Amino acid sequence: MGTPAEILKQELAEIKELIRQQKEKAATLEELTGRGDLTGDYRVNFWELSPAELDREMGARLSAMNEDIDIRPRGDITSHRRILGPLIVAFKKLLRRLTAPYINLILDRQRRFNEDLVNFHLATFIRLRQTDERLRAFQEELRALREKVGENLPDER
Amino acid sequence: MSDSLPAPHSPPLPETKGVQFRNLDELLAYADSMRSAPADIARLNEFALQAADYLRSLPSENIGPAMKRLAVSLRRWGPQPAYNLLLRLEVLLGLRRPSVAIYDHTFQVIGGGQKYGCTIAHSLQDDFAVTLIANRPFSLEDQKRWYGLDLSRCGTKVVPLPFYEDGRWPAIDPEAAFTRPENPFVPISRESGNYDIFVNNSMLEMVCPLANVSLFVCHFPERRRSAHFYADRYDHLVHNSLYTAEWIRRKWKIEPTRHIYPPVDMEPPPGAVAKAKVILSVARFEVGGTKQQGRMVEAFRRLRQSHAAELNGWKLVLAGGSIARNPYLEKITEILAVEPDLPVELKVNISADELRRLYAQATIFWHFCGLYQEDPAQVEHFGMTIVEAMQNGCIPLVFDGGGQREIVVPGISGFRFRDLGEVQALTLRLIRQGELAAALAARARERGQRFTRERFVAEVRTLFAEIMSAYAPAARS
Repeated sequence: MGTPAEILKQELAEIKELIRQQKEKAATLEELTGRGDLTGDYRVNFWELSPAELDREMGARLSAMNEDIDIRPRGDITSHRRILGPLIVAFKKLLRRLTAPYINLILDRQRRFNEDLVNFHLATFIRLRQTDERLRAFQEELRALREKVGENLPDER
Repeated sequence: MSDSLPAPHSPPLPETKGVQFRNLDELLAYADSMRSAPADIARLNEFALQAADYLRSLPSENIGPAMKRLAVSLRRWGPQPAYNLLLRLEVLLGLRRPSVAIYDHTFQVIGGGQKYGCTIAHSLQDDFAVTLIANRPFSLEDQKRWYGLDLSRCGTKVVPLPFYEDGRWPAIDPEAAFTRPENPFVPISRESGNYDIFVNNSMLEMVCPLANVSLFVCHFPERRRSAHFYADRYDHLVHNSLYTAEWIRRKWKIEPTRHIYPPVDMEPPPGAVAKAKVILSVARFEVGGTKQQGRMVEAFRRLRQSHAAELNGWKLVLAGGSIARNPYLEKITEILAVEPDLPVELKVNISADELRRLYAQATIFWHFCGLYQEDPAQVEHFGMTIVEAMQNGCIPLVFDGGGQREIVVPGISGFRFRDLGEVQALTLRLIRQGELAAALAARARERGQRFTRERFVAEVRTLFAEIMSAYAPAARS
């Protein structure tokens, strides 16, 4: 037997290892912390945003929409159950195969609609950008013109 | 306005004089009573302190059984709060040094924000077990070369983010995160829970801190509160300038807790270097042109046209880092190519020694960042290169906005301007009035000493001493 400090150290290390394993198993932050209020989601008030922030917001959301155009189910079907797992997977695969023609019929229309919508927003975004750039160029010209006029005035400094 | 804003998170309360546990049953009953509210920091604080006292008082043969019963009780808390308590007990019982993780998703590239994080690490590495965390591989050798910091007593860890590892993302783009239902930064949150203290130096408010003590270093609040916003869950919100603090209040509606200016240490090279007729700019060549080197060329050209005799012998040197293919830098290069007689030199990605020589030679320092900008993010949040120039006796002429107002006192240690006409007039005044220039240069050098690394290190150490006095009072360690 070691000193009390050594024993404490060893005991704490053992409990920590057990808890660490529990931490690994927790699938979400809520499970990990035992708290249900960790979403951290806030609604953006677009009226508060500056032109540059609105630009960033539009770009990011458009890019996310672009990635979600096709909403047909993707990915492998899996199950974490040890014994029943293979049966569940086989059943789900069969169900997906049987329903796919009907579901895809609907989702394909939805995909086309999504694509049109994203393209429409992209065109609007580009149009807005172009207008903005022209406006900025006009402002720059106006500023240069004002400074030129100002420079020709007598120096009072 | 600031009086009504909440602090980001209630900091741990100081030690309470609660009931002492007379036996294990009392301790376990208290632990059980906390399982419904493990997030109650005041009670957790009290429990940790009292539990450490109780465990320390036990004879050797009773420690094992007591710990086993405590483990059973803790497992009901949820893994992370239980782990937090164990971490804290280890420190309270003096079994190890407190651990600090400093996270920056861009440690692999050079930058002012990264230097801030690395200097925090450097300040703490002798008293804490410090680990630098990033999402892509990085090397401490690079940090040494870039910032002159020996971080050999720090550990490193790379925590990959699966969301950004599918080949689509050359860099970790935070903008992609807040439009997704899933939070790509959860792996960092999980990792944060393995340390006593977690410092988020990344400006990624999407990282939910799970450490016992958490610090968010904000160089500027780039995004508003939206999806996955956790900046208000940190115990301490450190800001780099008063300008940043103002925008934290406006954008996030929270009160920052600690103001620490960035460390700036651009000491002049050894030996006297004579000042030359050089106007210097040191700023990254941003693709978006936010540092406005183009306007500097325009201002310099106009000055030479209007006052050729006085500008005779003067040159403008534009130094700064750039990525390999940079359309903005190409545009500047093209402008200069058609005007070969214009004495403007481009110094891209130069070494620290060459930069030091340039600072030493330059008489005037121009910084245009923020000029004609509406977006507050496009205005300099602090302006480290301005201070570097001042430490070398360059007279700063800077745009009157952002953090630059905190550095340059007009007419005392430099000048501030609001448009191109004004910067030209002020430059001319300095060129004409040698005595004024000499006086300003001396005072600029003096003022530059307010932002040194020594001052930064002292402030960081004070902050961490305060944190530790609440986390593990000295009497118990």
